[in-house]
Amino acid sequence: MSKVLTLLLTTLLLISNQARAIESNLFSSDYSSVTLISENSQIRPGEEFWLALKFEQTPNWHIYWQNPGDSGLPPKLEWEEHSDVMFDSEIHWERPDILAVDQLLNYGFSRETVLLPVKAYLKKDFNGTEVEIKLGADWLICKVDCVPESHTFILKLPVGPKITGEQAVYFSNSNKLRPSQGLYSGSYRKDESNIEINFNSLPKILGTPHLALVEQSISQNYIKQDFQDLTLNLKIAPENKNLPDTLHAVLLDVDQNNHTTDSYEIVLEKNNTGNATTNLNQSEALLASKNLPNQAKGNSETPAFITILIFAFLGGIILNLMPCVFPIISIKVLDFINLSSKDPRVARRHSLSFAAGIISLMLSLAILAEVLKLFGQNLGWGFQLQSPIFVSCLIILFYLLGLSFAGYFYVGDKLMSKTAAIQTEKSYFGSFLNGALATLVATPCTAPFMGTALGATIGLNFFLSLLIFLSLGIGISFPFVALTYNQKLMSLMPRPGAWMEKLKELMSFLMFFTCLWLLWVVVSLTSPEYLIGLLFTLIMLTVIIWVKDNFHYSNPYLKFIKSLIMIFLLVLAFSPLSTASNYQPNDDSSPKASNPYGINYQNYSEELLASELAAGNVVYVDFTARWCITCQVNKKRVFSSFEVRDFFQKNHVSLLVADWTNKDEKIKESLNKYGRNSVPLNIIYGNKDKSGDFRILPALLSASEVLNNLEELTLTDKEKNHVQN
Amino acid sequence: MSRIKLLISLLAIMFCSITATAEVQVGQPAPDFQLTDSNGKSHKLSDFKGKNVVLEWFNHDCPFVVKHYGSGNMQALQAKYTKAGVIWLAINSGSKESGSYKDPKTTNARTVEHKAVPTAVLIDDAGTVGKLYGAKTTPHMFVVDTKGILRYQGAIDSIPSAAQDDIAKADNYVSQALDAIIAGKEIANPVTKSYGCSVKY
Repeated sequence: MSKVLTLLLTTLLLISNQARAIESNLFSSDYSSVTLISENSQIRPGEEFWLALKFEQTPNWHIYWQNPGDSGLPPKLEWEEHSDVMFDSEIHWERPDILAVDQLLNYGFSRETVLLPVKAYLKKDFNGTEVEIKLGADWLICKVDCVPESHTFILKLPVGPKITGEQAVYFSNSNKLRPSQGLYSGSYRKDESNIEINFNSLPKILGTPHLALVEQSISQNYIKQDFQDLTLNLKIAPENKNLPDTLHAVLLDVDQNNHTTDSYEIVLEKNNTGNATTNLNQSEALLASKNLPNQAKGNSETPAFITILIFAFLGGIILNLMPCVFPIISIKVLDFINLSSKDPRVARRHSLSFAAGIISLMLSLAILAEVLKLFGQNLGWGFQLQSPIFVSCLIILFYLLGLSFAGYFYVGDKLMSKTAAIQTEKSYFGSFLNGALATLVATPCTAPFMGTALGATIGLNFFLSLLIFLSLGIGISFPFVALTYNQKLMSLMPRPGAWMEKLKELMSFLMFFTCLWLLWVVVSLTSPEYLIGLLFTLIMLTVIIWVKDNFHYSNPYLKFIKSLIMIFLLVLAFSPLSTASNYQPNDDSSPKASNPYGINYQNYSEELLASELAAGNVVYVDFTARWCITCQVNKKRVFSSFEVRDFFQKNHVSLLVADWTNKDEKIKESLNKYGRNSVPLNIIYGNKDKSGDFRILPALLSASEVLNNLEELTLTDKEKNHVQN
Repeated sequence: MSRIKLLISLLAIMFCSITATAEVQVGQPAPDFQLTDSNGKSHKLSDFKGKNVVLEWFNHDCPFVVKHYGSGNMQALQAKYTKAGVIWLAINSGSKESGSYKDPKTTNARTVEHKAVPTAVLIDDAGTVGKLYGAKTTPHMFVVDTKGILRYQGAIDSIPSAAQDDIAKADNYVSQALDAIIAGKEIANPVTKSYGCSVKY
């Protein structure tokens, strides 16, 4: 018995030892106990990892937020320089509570556990088994009295394959306490010591709304601020003389105990008269209009919203022509033509089922995006293509569809067979699934109209964004539903015949080319080794189909052996893909081997943009991603032009490229600032008028169009001299 | 008649509430006040017209005040500028219920213990002067010039921390302001964000 106990105790000790291994030395006082913790108990070279200073505060004692308010001090972290580890200077702050004492207002943390998470990166070429991280931290902890505390924390982190540590739960909890990002924005105008803030929209607040500025202090010490619908007036403290163009703020939902129950990051842009929107063309201006409807405002904004819905509908129709949608839809249309020649009613029912599939998946995607938003995950359109697993599945799917179109084998319901007479309910369901598939596959091909229409859903309430997705779905379905319902249109279609088989075979090539493009996406997300593995999978699948179709046995033993062989081949086929999950999207921006632009370019950052503008340069910003086919076409059309390249060099135009191939929060935020959540987005900042004015180019570009815009916005050397004189 | 009374009382309430929340502004006359010091002597700000005056909010239990007294920084400033004819008023606005409040005897004992040399230590346990000036932290510094105009308000120096080591690295805003006023020059940073513990009103 005692032996069993000893064994148990030793095991427990071992387990707890393992847990302790990823914690630093402990600082402990009457007011706090503090440790440096790691999300992973083992980290991998070439990857980011999360560290955090974890505070356990004695009840009623509190440390302060990044803006402490009227008094107090935020904690200060100083990482000792490390040859192999790089530390992000930014702390990912949790939402603060309000600490109000009589005349004074502070932002700090009332809850017991507070994390100060920081991202770090272990260099790729590190080949040791452990890194030692040193952090010097200073913080002020107060109840009524204040005590400054400081300590040096040393954390030894094992290096090897990534292992999620037991502390990871603290990180996920902390992440939930972060302000929701990228959902809300607004503008501000300064007048003496007052600022007037106009929000584009506001979330539903259950308690008292309170706007906390991140960098500036407010000289009103009230929790209850004077929110008038979407406007808020604040008195800014006198020491903030010059306010930056962008104010960062966090909207707090404050309960009766001054605890914050929810929070939202809000970006406020300085409102200069004659700002960027005047440069947008009319339709885009309508869509990008800051006065998007919301529940707080009435019907006055409805016309703009209807315009958005119409654009979404038109965008849906155009989506039919996208290279990754056209084959699937047109094959389906062939079915409809075929069926219609026999029984128009059956064809109609099939086209409606197909449309229902499309619309259902559209709405599911909208709901999925909304649900993920609630969990603090912000996704743009086409986000699926940032996952190697999803792209691999797509490639396999396209490849099999291609094989089937080419006539290598037949898949699914045999609608094409001429004997198909009785349509069962199941085959309607088949049409429904086909519709859903077509939509899923269509999402990456962000059509020019989609970008703007979807950009408009940012900051909209859920119901309205559902409406937009609904009208997109209706748009996609409209052409073929109209076809099956209008006999005149149908009669214009060629009679069913042998040409259908030829068209199908032709479509198979489109499918294979789509595969090629997706393979290129996959290799940019993963590695050449993975690509080879995926190609192996494709070949093996072909072998399996060959085995399946060519060996027919009536003997049950032989049948069984055949099944066994096929299962074995299947496992073999998919084995190389097991590594897919190892390829986490990361924003380690390694220099690209080749330069697709043919001229010098720099990786985009808001700081770089600001400094280029400050230097008086014309700046061309290209938001792009490898999986965005429109972006690739644009790049080719614009930057293969010698004239464009010549103009860029002569006039010192800075090209800033924001590559969104991998998930990148910063690029996502920048996109949102322009009212978009998708690529392509091309912007020219001119130097002719006031710096800071920009023009958003259409989604589909031509070299001459870019040149014209550049010429209009660029100050030539001659004009420069003129201005100086 | 009663309507006029009502109007007047409304106006009076409005006026009171305005003056209660109005904060002082650099470039404007510093509001006058009267307080009793730790030796029982009464002082009015207007008594010092013709001289530059420093107002220093303190609370000896606050680590940020300890930073500047423990290092001798505050005493050195007091000595240097009182010698040059500047009036230095240290003010404690802690309410009687708070730990920050000290009776006159203890206050004098602390002054001796710290070798502090302000012109006077004023006791503002009702917090009226603190609120009048919008003093938020300890320390919180104000400088009034010879004409009674407020010229500086804010932090004592440029590094908000409780660490004594930072004093040498920081720019001292108060001595910058005083030197500029004495030399008849513009003050480089006339308004800064004060740092420290909250005033215990």
